[in-house]
Amino acid sequence: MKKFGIYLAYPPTLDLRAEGLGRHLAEFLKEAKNCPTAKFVIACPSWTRKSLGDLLEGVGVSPDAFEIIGPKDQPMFLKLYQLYQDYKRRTRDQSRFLRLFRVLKRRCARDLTRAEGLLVTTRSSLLLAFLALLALPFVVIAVAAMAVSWFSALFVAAWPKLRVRLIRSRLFRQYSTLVTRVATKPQASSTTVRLYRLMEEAEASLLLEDINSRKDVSAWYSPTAFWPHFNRINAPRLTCVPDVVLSESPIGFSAVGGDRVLQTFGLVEATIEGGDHFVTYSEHIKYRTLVERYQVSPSAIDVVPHGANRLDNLIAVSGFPDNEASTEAFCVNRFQGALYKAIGTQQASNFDSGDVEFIFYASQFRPNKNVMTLLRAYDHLLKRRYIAHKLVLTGDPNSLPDIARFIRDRNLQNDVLCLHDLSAQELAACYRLADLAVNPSLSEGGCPFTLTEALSVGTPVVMARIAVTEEVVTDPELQDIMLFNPYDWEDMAARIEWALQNKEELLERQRALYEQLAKRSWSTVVNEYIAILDRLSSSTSSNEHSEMTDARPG
Amino acid sequence: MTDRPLRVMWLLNHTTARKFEIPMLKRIGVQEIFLPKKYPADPALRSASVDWSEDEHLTIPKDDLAILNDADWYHNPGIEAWQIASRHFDVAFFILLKTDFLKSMSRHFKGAKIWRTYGLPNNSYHAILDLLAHREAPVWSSVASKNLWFGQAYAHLAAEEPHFIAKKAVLFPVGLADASVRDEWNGDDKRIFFICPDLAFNSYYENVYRRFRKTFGGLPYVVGGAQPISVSDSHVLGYLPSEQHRQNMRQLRVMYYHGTEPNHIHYHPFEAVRSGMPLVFMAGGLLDRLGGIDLPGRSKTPKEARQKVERILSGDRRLIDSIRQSQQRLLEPMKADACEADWRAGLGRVLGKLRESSPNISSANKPKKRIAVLLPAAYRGGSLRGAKLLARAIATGSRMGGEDIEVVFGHLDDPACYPKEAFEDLPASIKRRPYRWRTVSHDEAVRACAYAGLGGSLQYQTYQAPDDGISQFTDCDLWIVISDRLLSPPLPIRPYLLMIYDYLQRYQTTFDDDTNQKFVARAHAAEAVMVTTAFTASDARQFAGIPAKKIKKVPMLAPEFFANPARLEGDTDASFLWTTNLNPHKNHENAFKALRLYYEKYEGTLNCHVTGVDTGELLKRDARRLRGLRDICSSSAAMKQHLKIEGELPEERYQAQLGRAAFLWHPGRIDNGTFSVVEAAHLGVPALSSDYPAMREIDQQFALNLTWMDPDDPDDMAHQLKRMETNFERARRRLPSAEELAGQSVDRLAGAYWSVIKDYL
Repeated sequence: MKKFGIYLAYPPTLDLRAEGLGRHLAEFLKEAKNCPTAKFVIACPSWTRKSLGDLLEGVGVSPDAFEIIGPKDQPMFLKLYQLYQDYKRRTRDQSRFLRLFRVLKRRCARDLTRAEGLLVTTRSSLLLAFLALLALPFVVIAVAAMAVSWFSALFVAAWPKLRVRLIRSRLFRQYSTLVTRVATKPQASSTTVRLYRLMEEAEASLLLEDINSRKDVSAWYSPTAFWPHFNRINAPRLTCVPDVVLSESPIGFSAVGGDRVLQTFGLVEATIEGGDHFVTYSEHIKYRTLVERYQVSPSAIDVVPHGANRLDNLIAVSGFPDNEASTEAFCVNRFQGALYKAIGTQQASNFDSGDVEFIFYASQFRPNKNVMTLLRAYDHLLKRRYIAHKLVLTGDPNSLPDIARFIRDRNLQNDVLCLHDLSAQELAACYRLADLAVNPSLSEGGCPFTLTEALSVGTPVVMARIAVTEEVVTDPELQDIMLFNPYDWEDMAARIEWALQNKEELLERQRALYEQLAKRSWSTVVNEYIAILDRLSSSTSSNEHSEMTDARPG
Repeated sequence: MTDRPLRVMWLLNHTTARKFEIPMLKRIGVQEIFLPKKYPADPALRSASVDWSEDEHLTIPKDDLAILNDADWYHNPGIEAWQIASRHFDVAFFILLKTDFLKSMSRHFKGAKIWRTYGLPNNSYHAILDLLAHREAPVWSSVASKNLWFGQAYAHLAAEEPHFIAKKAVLFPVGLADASVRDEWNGDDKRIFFICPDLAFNSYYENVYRRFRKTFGGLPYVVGGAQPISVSDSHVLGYLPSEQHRQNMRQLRVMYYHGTEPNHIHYHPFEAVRSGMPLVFMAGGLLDRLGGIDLPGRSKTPKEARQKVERILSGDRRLIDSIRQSQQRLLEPMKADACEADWRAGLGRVLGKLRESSPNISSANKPKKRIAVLLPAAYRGGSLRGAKLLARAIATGSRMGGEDIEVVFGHLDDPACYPKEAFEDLPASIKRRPYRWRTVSHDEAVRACAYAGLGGSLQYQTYQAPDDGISQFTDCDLWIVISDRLLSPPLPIRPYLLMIYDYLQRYQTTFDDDTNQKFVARAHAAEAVMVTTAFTASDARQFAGIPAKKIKKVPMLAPEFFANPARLEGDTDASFLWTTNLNPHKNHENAFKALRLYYEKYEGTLNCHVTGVDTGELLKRDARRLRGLRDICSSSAAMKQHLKIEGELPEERYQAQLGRAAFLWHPGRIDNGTFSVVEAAHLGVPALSSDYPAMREIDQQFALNLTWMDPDDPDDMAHQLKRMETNFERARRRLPSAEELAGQSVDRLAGAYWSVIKDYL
């Protein structure tokens, strides 16, 4: 049985479970574990071990199912940072001291009430004098407390002016910004990014030492193209290039993330330029991106389309008299939880009745996702066509200010709900409860997951007519009823309106497609990857073999 | 109470509880028991089931039983089901999932109500009440608490509750149908048995399981309990048939019970004790109260629990035997014999109080029910007219329904806005009452609620009350507020309904979002929201998020117009009438563009007469959106020739003008519709209207056969004007007859209003 390696080099603090690529990896590993023809080793930085363990546990795979190699101990600098983060996130449990204090306070209040009762009801002057004597220290303390509070009040009154002076000082401004950035969003600070690069370089070297010492591993696979270090592995390598989306919307992305994203772009290009063999999710990315833009030889690229991304298992309730109704009720419950994650809508929990109908688009907000065109189409449908549905999105509107502005200017903040950072179950529930899923994206690495995610829970879907989708949705008649021109909001609006009015018909037509797509399980996908890795390792060893043969003295 | 047999409704579906409590009720003398046949499809109710077996013992009419069986006893079963319940049953046990249930039960069920409480992990029942009523007013009112009991399963539960609940506590102890020890355990399977259901979705159990794995990591274990959503964990058994579950109880070596909540316990530790399986449990929980404080299986820390479990797994006979022998004590309080006296005394107390408050005693001098219809702002025009029609509909509808109801009409105390003449069309039986809104601080609101008998928390800092200088409308049993335009919440001492005509703010920016949130919050807090169109019903549900069950659609009430005797036969002028005002949604710009096209492109010949409030200013006022109209008009000779601005006309002149028009033109954008088209139909005049939902619904209800145009497309508007010019005679012949129009009178529609409103009295 051959052994293959999976190379991961995600940055610290990243929760793999929350990332699309992480979920893709989880599906891959779940199937890889059971593969009878190959074994996998995972190489990852020290800081990814825990996140990887959580990811595996989340999909019911024992962390011991894979051999994990790479440095074990995290750099001290990172440990200190994580300690600080843990401190900030600590659950504020009631300490024993506080509990004791509360008990004492209650007892004190009770005794005081008793003493007061005695004071006002006693008919003995001796007892009254005794009580007054007892109360004396408390009176002194009370007077002192009043004095302290008086001085505190003075300080509080003066504080705003002091604060303004402090804030105006340049030194304070400069360092407070730096401290805030490092503490809250380290990736946004150029200082931390620079320090991180140093740390990453050292970690990669250690990781590569471990990897290159493993002669038993026949070939290595990198599930993404962010890591040029991968190319320093002395064994056959397969790099997955999901897409190079920045090149598809250059102006849009130029305003996102600043130079940090430019640096990442550089890493992707370096990974591609130094790579040997690639895999993409679609023919489109193979030819348009790798062959045309990066001049990679077509023979060095394999295409492995996605498996069906099914969400039904996350929400399907069984064992009840009416499982459908129970599943529905469960989804409503998850949706209620998701509403609390709304950004930009006041009181989104008002919509938790389970009666609200909506259209759903699950995606982060990125320039290529074409959210603005969807918003234009929705605004028209709502205000001119009187389609009463809400539009539920999953991005953060503040990540692309144009989106937040459009929603505000068109007074859509109660109709467009941006439910950000959904759990997998919440996502599945949204899909299930939606009347229609929409995907207006202009460019994707493979056919958008929206298709199988929506159909797996019985929700019809309309999508942008883009090449990667047409690779999968090939029936011209079906294309006509479910695809729209993503550059034309009126066409998008018309398709959405038609789909809402003909939900059953659309779903019926799409079911046949889904049944066909659902046959392509993650097990199929993993087997295709294994076949490529096997081929790469075999051809390399035969090359080595032939080189050795050729080198024989004649 | 009557001489019929004592009957109880046990409105729960919990299987294990039912197995004990139904026989217990029979044991203390209740032979007829109703059990609910429907329960929510919520996966959290995994222990629920339906039992039909008690139906055969019920001696109530089959038709009544069918209605009871069909009702939803967890939300709002409806007035009919409650009336049947009141007729046949003395007591109802219930659990509370929705406040609407408690409210409807309070209003309509005459028997005793026992809120069955089994204890909650880390929560009190008053907190649950506040949580359920978080958008509404407190639900524990003096009306609701009449014959309402806190039926606690453990004697200490009421200690966690405020006085208004604690004083209603009655003990109905929890028990087991069979609390005997079977002693069938052999423990051959050397694994821990841990019960932890709902792992895929319940964060409480997820945490419990996480802690369990932390405590017992490395030891062999299996996890029992139903998993309605599958979990990929090889330790998790999922749902098992009862025989297999029982086999696990026999064979697995030890059960660990995690619970440390003082008020809540699961059934499975008792199952383990019954089978003879050693139980290791955490101290501090309810088991301590049930006699477990010195049991050898009790562990003060997870470490201690692990040590005990390890000893049991390794076959420490002494520990196993000592646990098995001593733990049987936990079953003693669960036996029916131990519980019977409390059940008997509890039910006796409940029935005694019910007898004291039976209707025969309290119905003497019962005051007439009174409903207030409140206009919350200085509305005139359509809203005032609508409010008066609503007041009439309630008075008429209740009379037709055989109820003696008094309707009070409340309007702001502003004689300039509301002169006496404005109410001449209000029937004398409806008393008018001017009022002012009085701001009520939080402290005042707390006191007012206490005096009114309300228990629970108030969430707002400020409330408002309609102050009529008499009793602030507290003499009325229900307030019906016309519109949701209440910036502060009404003081929650009376239930209120809202009559909402539209949610135009969804389509036009009419006010800021903070204001919108306030109006929406008022609608959520209302008992129900009445609407007159399906479109507004849809917006109430979709835009405001009001649950569909709270939205009540009632027919539109149009003013009474008097039909033109010469309708359908009279002569017409060569003109059409455009009734409008200066509001932006009247779509003036497109209307002017359309008129120009009509005259210039389509060579239209009919004059256009413009009338309505402030229309004399249409071409004079210097508002930005009106300036363009002057340009359109001045640049078109045809427009100048045919457009006649009439301004606001007196009622009679307006009707005369309308009666002679070829048709009425309504080119406005979305609003809640205009009854001017209905008035036109009464006068035999057809109408060309913008196509939007409210107008479609007016068209449908009054069968007007309107002609339509697209208000966003001036060319289509012009084209339709031209078509009307040639076709208005045909359109006139398609108008409804006078008899058909009379079918939409207030008197005919009043019953529909009453059938909604009576539910809230």
